[in-house]
Amino acid sequence: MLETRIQELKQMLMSEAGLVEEMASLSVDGLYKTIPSLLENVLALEDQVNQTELEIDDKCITTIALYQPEAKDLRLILMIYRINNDLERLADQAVNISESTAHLMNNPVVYELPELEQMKDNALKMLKNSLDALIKEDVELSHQVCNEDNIVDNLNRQIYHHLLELIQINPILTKQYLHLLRIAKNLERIADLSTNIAENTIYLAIGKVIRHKSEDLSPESH
Amino acid sequence: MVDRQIWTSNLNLWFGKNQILHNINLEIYKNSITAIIGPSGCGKSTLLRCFNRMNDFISDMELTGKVYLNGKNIYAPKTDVYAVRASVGMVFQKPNPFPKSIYNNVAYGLQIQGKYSKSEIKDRVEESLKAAWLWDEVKDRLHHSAMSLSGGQQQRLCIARALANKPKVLLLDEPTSALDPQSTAKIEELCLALKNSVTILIVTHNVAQAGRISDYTAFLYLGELVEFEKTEQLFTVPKDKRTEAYLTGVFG
Amino acid sequence: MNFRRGKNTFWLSIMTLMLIITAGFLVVFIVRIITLGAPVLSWKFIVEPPREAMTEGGIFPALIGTFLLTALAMIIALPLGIFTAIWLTHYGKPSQLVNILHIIINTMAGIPSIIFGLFGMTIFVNLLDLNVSLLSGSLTLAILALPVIINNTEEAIRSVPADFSEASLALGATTRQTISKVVFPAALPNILTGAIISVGRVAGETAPIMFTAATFYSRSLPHSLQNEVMALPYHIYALMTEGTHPQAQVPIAYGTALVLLLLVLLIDALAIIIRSYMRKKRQW
Repeated sequence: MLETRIQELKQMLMSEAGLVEEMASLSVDGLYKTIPSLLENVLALEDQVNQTELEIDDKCITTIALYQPEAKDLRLILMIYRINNDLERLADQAVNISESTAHLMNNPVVYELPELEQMKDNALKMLKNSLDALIKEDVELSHQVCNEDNIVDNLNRQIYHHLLELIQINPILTKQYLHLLRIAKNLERIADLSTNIAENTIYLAIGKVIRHKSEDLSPESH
Repeated sequence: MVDRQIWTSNLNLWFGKNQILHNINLEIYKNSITAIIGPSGCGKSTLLRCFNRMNDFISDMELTGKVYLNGKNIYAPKTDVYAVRASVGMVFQKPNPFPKSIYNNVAYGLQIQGKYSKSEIKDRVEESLKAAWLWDEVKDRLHHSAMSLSGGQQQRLCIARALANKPKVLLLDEPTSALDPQSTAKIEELCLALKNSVTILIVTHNVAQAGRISDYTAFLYLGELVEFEKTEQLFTVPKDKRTEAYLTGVFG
Repeated sequence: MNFRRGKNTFWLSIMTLMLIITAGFLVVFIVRIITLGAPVLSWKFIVEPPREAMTEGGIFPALIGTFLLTALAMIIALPLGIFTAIWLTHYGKPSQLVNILHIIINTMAGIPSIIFGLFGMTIFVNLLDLNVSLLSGSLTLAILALPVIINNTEEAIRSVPADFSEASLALGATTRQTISKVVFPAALPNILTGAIISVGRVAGETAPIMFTAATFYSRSLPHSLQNEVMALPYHIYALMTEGTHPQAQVPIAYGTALVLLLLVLLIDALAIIIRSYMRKKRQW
């Protein structure tokens, strides 16, 4: 009864996560490779994600109404509800990136900003790690993700300043530079949302709330 | 479109001058579990007993409207009321096995019909006890008294006894309210397993129980069928304010 | 405080006094019967008929008479009473009729036994022309026993939990099946106990059989329903009031009383034993 429904919710969430990961990497790959119909493919995936998001939403509510879950079960269902939400927003970010990428495909401008590739690698790694940690309820990995948010934030600031310089040097390319800025912002959001997922995973696993804390988040402060 | 198994049409019922049921139109679907919920004393058990004509025994009972079982109105004149009762099983709130052996309890419903051979009865008894998840616990002491069983076992025995006639419908009147939580859980699981072979109608004052096991829920208030809906729907977005009030504990 | 204690002691003493008086009556009564009756008691007393104008011999015919009267009365009264009780508890309609019947039965239960005797004489002996006979006497005794049997059976049936009947009916059984397969078997121990106690009472009744069955002396044992019979209670009465040789006959009367008393006590004891055995076996 209750266990079956929880299993179903988990599976639905994992498949949604898989779709989101695919969307994210596809959207940034387009910056460095030629990918035909990139935007259409990403939008098609977004449709699937939205559909799943509605289903998971409904199922969480009815499961609570019908079965009054407690303790771990309750935390699990509430976190699935939250993470479901975050995944949908992640999908949105991927779509935004794809729209900008579509304008920048095959444009050498990308290579003037090496920090972007670094940021992309970090953000996507955080996403992947947060989803892995979720499946395994891995508290340590989740903490790791939370810590890496700083790195991505720093890269974002660097990119902002670098782009300021580039615009002053080459004002004609402002439009492209602005696309790059948007992509950086989207990547920063992806990192944020991954952090959210990691925080929710920690609450799920050990019932501890670590949202809105800015101190060092390693498991044992040394 | 799911088949309906039993349904009522403009059912009204009085005990003397008191009207207990007001114009009930209820459809129960095949192989589903339907829960009837509502505050105490609002006619849930009375409604349940309309489906096997057990209200007939109340001397000042009067009824208008129709109750259909497999397409036939069971209140039509000339209906074989004993056949109706044999085709609808009933389990009561307090387990009430006869002071006979376990075997004879389950066999009773078959013995009174006088049309089954001894070996047929023996097979049916085993089948019913297995269906009620009691066989393993009693197979070595079928001729012991039924009263030697625990409360939960007695109730499962009563279920087996009701199943012996292979009824199409099983009526359960608050079957777990006199039992401990473990026995209750076992019987709830049993219901979920049984719904594949028999349509189940369960009266319960435990709303959480209705949520756990039923596919459809009917909310009865002051003898009126206020709402009938898929349980998921009724428990999350009920259509009637009274239903919502009951579910959120405002009354009852 | 002392006043309260004093009050307690006072009332306790009163109650103890009452108890002693009551027990005293019983003890004196029993001792008297035993003292006066025991001397004539013997095996011969029980198995031999009376001789020499009731001054010698035994009471065998009276014993047989009592036995036959009681047995026949029960054979008539039990089925009548049990079926009536079943009708009253399960089929009784309309309820006014049932109420009236209950009033009649309870009134009958309180009618003095001499009136039953008169009734028996009027109806059975004279009207139906059955004469003073075993048959008349048994019928009269049956009517006497009927109210008690009906009430006892009704109570026994009502003490069977309604749960059982409900379950039976819900399975599609008719009322008749429910009664015969569930209710009656469950009520049987109590019905039986009540019947046995009735036996004890019927055996000791004098007034109903005085005009309908009993005779002071019969030469032979009864061999048909039309015969008059001797009976233990009547024998006592006759010896004490119509006896011609009191010196020999009074002890015989006491001896008969003792036998009757022992018989009734034995029957009651049997009923109690059966009831406690049934109670142990009772499953609900």
